[in-house]
Formats: sequence, structure tokens, C-alpha cells
Amino acid sequence: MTMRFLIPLLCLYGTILTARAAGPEVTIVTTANPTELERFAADELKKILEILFEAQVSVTDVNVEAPHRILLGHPSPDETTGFQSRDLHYLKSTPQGLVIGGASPLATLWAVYEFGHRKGMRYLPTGDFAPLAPPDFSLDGFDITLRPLAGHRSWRLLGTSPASQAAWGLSEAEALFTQLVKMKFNRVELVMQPYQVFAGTVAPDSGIWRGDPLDVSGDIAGRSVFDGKKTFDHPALVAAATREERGELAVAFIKDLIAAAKKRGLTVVIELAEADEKQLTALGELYPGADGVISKPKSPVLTFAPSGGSLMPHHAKSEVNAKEDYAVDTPLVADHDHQLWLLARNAFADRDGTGESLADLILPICGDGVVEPFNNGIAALTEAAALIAKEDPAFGVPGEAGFMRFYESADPLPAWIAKAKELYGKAVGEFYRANTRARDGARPLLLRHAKRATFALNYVGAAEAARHAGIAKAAGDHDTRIEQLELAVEAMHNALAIYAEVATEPGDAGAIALMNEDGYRPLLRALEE
Amino acid sequence: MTNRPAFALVLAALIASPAISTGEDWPQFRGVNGSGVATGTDPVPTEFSFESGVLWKAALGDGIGSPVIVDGKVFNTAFVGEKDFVIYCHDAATGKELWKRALPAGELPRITPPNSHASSTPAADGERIYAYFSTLGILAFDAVTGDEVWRHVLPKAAYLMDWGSGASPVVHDGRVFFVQDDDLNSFVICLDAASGEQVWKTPRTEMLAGYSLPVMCEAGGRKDLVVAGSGKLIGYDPATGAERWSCASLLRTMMTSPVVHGDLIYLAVQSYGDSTRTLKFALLEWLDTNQDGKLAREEMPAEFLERFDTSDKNSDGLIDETEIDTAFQHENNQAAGGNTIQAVRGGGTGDVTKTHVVWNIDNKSPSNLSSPLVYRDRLHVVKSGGVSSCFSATDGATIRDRTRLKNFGDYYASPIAADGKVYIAGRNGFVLVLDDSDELTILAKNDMGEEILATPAIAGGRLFIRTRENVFCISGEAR
Repeated sequence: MTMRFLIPLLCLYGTILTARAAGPEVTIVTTANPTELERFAADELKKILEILFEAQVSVTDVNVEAPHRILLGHPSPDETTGFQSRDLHYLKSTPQGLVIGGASPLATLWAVYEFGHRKGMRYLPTGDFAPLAPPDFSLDGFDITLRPLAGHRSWRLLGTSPASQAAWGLSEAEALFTQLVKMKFNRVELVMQPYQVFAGTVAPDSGIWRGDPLDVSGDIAGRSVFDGKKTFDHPALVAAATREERGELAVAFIKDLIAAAKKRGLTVVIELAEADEKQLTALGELYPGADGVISKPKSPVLTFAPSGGSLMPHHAKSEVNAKEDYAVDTPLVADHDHQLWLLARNAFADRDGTGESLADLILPICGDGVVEPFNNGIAALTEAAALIAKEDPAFGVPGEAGFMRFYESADPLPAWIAKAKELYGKAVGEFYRANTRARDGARPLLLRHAKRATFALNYVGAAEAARHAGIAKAAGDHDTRIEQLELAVEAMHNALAIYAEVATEPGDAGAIALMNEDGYRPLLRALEE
Repeated sequence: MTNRPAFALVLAALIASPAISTGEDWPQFRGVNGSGVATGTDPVPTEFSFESGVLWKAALGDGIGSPVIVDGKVFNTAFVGEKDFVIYCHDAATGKELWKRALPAGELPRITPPNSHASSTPAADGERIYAYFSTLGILAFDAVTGDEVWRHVLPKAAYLMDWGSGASPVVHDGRVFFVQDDDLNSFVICLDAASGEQVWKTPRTEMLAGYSLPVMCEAGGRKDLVVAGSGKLIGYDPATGAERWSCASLLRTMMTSPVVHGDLIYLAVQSYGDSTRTLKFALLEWLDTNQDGKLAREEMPAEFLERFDTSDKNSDGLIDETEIDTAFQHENNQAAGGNTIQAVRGGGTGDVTKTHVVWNIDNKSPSNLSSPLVYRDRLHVVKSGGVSSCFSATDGATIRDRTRLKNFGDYYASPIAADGKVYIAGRNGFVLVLDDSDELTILAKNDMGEEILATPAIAGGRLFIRTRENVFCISGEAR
């Protein structure tokens, strides 16, 4: 599937441009010999000014006089000697113009995005959102110096499940790297397992995930995410005819990934789980472009996902305030867009040290009245996730103890199922009300949560019906068994079809493929027995 | 011996009159008069897929409007590149693109997925093709060249729940009819097909948003334009737009279309909730953001603020319990939810609610989206979950009640029929073919590989299936 990055920005861009008259003339003055990253920073600043103010922007490396001047990458004299971190960056209004700069070319680029943020842009892992109301044009009043609280702000890429970034191709990864820089991440960790083709392994049991590629042909639910394909596979490997070719393509893919990340100024480290020195050396030789090879994470890993691989929507509120080095592990990125935004924003402190909240994300891009139902929806999801983690951590985990255990048992339904259903139902209502209220705002952000909650509601409904069918089966009640199985199939179909409507990344497609294998197809087979 | 004067007169009449569609055509949504029944007798394929039985396939772009076929040409609409409305003309036999026209859409209205900005089905009369686009109004194109002949701008539709447009025009006897039932200013309009000039426009002030197709009903020695809407089925004089009769037997939300068989008009619809669920429940569920049981001005979409202020009788900035019932639903038409399948006899005068409802059953089989099919005296419906039912068109007697087709998911497309078979397309991309009989006999389950929301079309033994991105022509001619 194609990653649907950046569509929100493009949509809102049009709205803003049509709402304003021609904007101010702005001159961006770069250093005399800008690096590639600094040139990119100038281009990005130009785009931001055009999007937000419909500005007429010129870029020069000659220090010309202009009514609206931005000095890009020029260190302020007051700050030069105080640099203690390469990540420091700042926005400072001066008589000569607005200085947007940093202690390094990458930090200068971050300062550009900080300017965008301060003017209402919101940069998330899956795309950008422009502010609902166009901001006033002004380059005055800035006196911001930002220092990182965490030195290593890492993103862990790859994984072992089709329902994760293990299924991402180069185009999705490139789009992610672009967003990571906007969010001031500075490191990418490519996390490999010894059996994976990514690690150069070509053995009978090598692969990316167990059983790859997955069959998605015929009568499956949520099939729109597969774009008519019959199998779900890693996009870089689909052309391979042999195991050896898969291995070669996987290595070439990782090399491209390293180059793409470095092009954006990100450090790239490869982690090979539990590897010895010899393996690490070999991996370093295989990928000479990497900045390091390690056998275990150097920073605390913040996992944004339910434990055990559950595909239920999830919100981990306690994990977003880390003030030390961190490495983010998030199999389904779009589920955690808002949390990752919050984490990234609070990884830097302004002079007053104040942090940001989800309201700072939602309000400018969705408008009034949305924060409350959004937070209510998140609270309901959080409670549901905690309930499931406590009562049945395997719920929503495709695999051997997967969905059909609900049909294979005649035990009464556990009481927590009804509570989970109630919580997901509440989340559905709150997120849809938020979505309705947002109107011309960042609806894709809200609709994702609304549909994921609806998916969960239907998935729980499928489990309920499957258990009722199991009870009827044990009692020899054929008609009730069939009736309840039909309801279970219908609910599972609806769950996956609804999820497909907001699938934005290959991991979503992988999740839908897994749940077809785990739930939808076995239910259909049971119905045909 | 040839009667030369008579022959000459017929020939002259044919030359002078505008082109008319033939019996083998499928000129609008669900074919002739929206019936869903092919008028030809050619055999139509039973087994096919996206890989077999395909005579041709063409990529269109996003859309859920149905194909129409007139004089060997297939017309489709699409929304392409997030900016253009596009209308396509393909050769029905070969799939060759004869022409296409792209029109900048401008600022788009809010819609709710899976609706598309290309949701409307065009109508064709052989001479021109008439298409509705939400930001442009109704446009006519020359059927041969694709040149734009005229465009008639309409007020933009407004939907309280942001559903977006979905209505389709029809063309009869040189006139284009279009119903725009929204939540603000519902109306039915008649345009001259040649010029696009307005012939008449009749407000439908009692109506809420809906997508029902207008149909023609000949009964009582006259022809009525019949439109289903919130709570009421209404017959209009097609020449003047004057209301001739109304039947208050319908439900709050009418997204399905009626079909006419003889002098009977058949309807089947589900409108969410029960007989107490008027519009206020939906308003409080989805627009009352803070759930305080009142609608605040800031909770309203901007296009409804004037209506809000009118409804806020005490001007306190809130629509409360005492004001909400009639704020957006007409005081004389407080239709509620439920299910109904009914037959109404056409040709009445005035309020025919008590005199012309031939039968009316409260049965949970109808869909809120997929329209009924009447074929060979059986009424077929299909609803979400792949639940199919069949009733006697004569008296509403149940033939088959809620039988599973074993093809799950949503059903937006309406059933159609030809060659003794009923075709039902599921959103999941499978097209089921049923034998037209009392028993449920599934002849085939055909995989088109892509989501289908548009009702397929049949003409000349060919089946035209518009998937979300493509159109397939299925035919026995395919090798």
C-alpha cells in the first residue's frame, strides 16, 4: 500500500491560501557557504512562509537589506560562546532581522521547524497540519533558545511483525525521516534479529516475519488496503524470485535506508539483538554507512504499543514525559501520532521550562471544542487498554492463542468484555464528536482514532458472538451456533473494513492481513463446517 | 409495397427529433426509470472476475457513481488528483476512450468517507450527458464530442452530519430533473435539457438530507414525477412542478430510491432508530460536542447559523429542549426512524396516506442505502452483512426473510436484474449472482478485486462494474 503521508498538509494548504490576500515579501539570508542541510533548511523555511503567509520569499547568501529579513544559520553573537550542545537552537528577533539558527546545520533546520511550530504548524510522524486560522505575519517578539533534555532522541525502525515498521518500504521510511527531523529526533536505530534477511541472513527459515509473504487473496476483510494484490509482502522484496534474491534485495534496502536517514542529518545505528562481537563486526562490514553497530539498546526504549503484540488501539499516557535519552518503539505509528508529538515537544526546554500538552497540538489545527472530546476519547481508550492488559493481555494478539479461542470454549464470557465494549463505545462517540466539531480542521488525525475505536468495538463484538457460538456448539444447538457465527463473521468483517478506511501505513495493512488469518478466515471456515 | 408518404414522415420525424435512448440502454442511475432492470434480452454473464470474462477495463480514479450506457457509449465520473471532476466517455464494445473532460472542482465541501466527491451518477439521452458535481451544479456535455453545452449552477448542498452529496439527475422527454434534499434548502428542479434553463423549481421545505432518485409513474391517465423524502412520498406534475399528491408513510432519512412497477411505487428503507427517533437524537449525539443536552451556536456548522438563530427563539445562544424538535426538522413532518417496505399506488390527488398505500410492512430487512429491486413480481432487498430478503410485489408476503448471502460487509450498491438473474455487488468487491426464484440460489460469487459502492449497469448483455478506481466491462464476448 502507499503511505498517505502529508496529505493533511496539502489539504489545509489550499484552505489557507484561498483565505488570504497576497502576503509580505520576505528575504532569507543564509551563510555565505551553506551546507546541503542549510540549503534544505532555507527551502523548508521558504515553504513554511508561503504556506502560512502566502509570502513572496527570496533566498540569498548576500547580506542584503530588506524590510522582512530572516538570517538563517547565523549564530547570535551573544549565544556563540555559550554553545554547550550541538543541538541548541534559537529564534531571536533583532534589529537586523529574525535570526533562526542553531549550533549545527541540523540544529538550524530544527530552528526552522520551531518557527513553523510557533506559528501554528504541527509536525507529526505521519504528516503535517497547518493551523486552522492563518496566523498574523510578524517576525518580531522572538527570544527563544531551546536546549535538549535528552541527548539521544532515537527512533527504532524495522521490527519483526507485518503489523509494524518491518513492513515499510523506502518511500515510507524517507517520509518518516523527513518528519523525524521536523520533530527534532537525531538518531535512527535499525533493529534487526539474527534470522532476518535484513541482517544478511539467507537460510531456509530466514525472513522478515514468520510466514512471509501473507496470502491476502479472495474473500478477506478490509481488502481495500491491499490495492488488489494477492499477497502482502515487504515492498522491497516483492520482485525477488528466490530466497537468495530476497536476501540481496533486503540488504540493498537497508543500505538505501541508511543513506536516506543520513541525508536528513540523522545518525544511524544498527542493533542486532544478542549478537556477539564477530556478528557485529560482520554487520558493520555489510553496512559501512552505519554510524555504529550494537547488540542492545543504549537508551531506554519507550514502547508505544500494548505488550505482547495486541492490535487493539492503545494510549500509554505515562510514557510521554521522558526527560532522558530515549528510543521510541512504535509498531503502528499513526495510533500514537499525538503521543509522539508530545514526547518530541517536551524533549526540549525553553528558558521558562514550560512543557506542552495535547491541547497545544489539537487547538490550533482543530479549533475550539475539540480538545475535550478528544481527551475524553483518549481516556476511554487508555482505560480499555489497561483493562485488557490486566484481564487478558493476549486479547487482540494474532497467533496460536488468537481469536478462535473464543469459539473453542464454552465458558461464560468474562465480565471485562462488557466493560471493554462500553469503553470503546464511549471512545467512538467522543472521537466522532471531536471529528464532527473539527469541520475544516485536522479531521484525518481525529478520524483515525474514531475508526480505530470503532474497529475495537466491532472486534470485541466478534469475540462476544464467537463465544456465544462456542457455547451453542457445546450445547448442540446448531441454529444458534450458525446465527452467532454469522454475527461474529459480520462483526470481524466490519472491524477490519473500518480499520482499512483509516489505514495509513504498511503496518496497518499488515495488521489487517494478520487478523484475517487469525480471525476472519477461521470464522468463515467454522461457518462452513 | 412501401407506404412512401408515411415512411417519409417517420424518417423526417426521426431526423428532426433529438436522439432518444434505446431499449438496450442504461441511461441513468439503475437504468430506465431507475428500475434496476435491464430492458434487453441478451444473456448476461454469470461467472466472471477481475481476471476472467473482462472485455475491457479502464482506470477512472476515485468514484462511486454508476456507469450509464447510451448508444454504445459508456459514461462515468471520477474525482481525480484531489482537484478535478472528470467525466469519461468510452466505447462500450472496445473500451476505447472517446473523450474525457476534467473540470476544476474548486473548494470542496466536507464529506464523510466512504462517500466520494464523484458520487453522482450522470444521465444521458443520446444527445447529451448530464452530470451533477457538488461545487459546479448540473452540466451538460455533447455526447459525441464531450463539449460542454451548458451548466446550471445550484446552491451548494449543506449536510448537518457532513455526509456530502449523492443525488443524481434524470432526464425525461427533454427535461432534466434533479432533487437536492439537504438539511437547509431542499428542492426539486426541472431544467430544459437543450439549454439548461430552469423550467420550474419547487421547494421541499419539509425535507431533511436524502439521496432518493426521482422516478416517473404513469397512473390514472397521467404521468407524475415521484420523489421520496423525509416522511413523505410526493407526486409532482412534471410540467409545472406543482405538488399533486403526498403520502406520509415514509421515515426520517430516505437514502434509498423508489422503483415503479405498473402503477405501483415500491419503497424499502431503514432509517436508524425507532418510531421515536426524530432528528434531535442525531443532533444531540453528534453535534452536541460537550454533551450538555443543548446545541450551542459554536457547535453549529457555519452554513447553518442563520437557521440556528431563527430556531433560537429566546436568543440565548442555545437550542435547548424546548427548541430542538423543530430547529432543523419541519414542525409538520416529525418523521422518525424504523423500517418499512411498502407499495403505494400512483395517480392520486392530495393526501393519499390513507387511500393509496397498498401494503406496508414493518420488517427489518431493508437497507438504509441499497434500494429495492422489483423483478418479475418479486421485491428484493439486500442490507449490510449480506442479508437478502424477498417479498411478493403483489401483497408484500414474505418469500424469503433475511437470508445470509455468505458475503459479509456493507452493501451500498443496489441489486439489479437481467436474464433471469439478480446481481448484487458488495462493498468487499464480490458480485453475487442469484437465480430469480423463490429459493435462495447463489449461482456465482464473483471477485472483482476492489471495493464496489456503485450500482453496476447492464446494457446489451454486457455488465459494467464501477469499482472504486476502475470500470470493468464484463461480457460473453471476452475471451
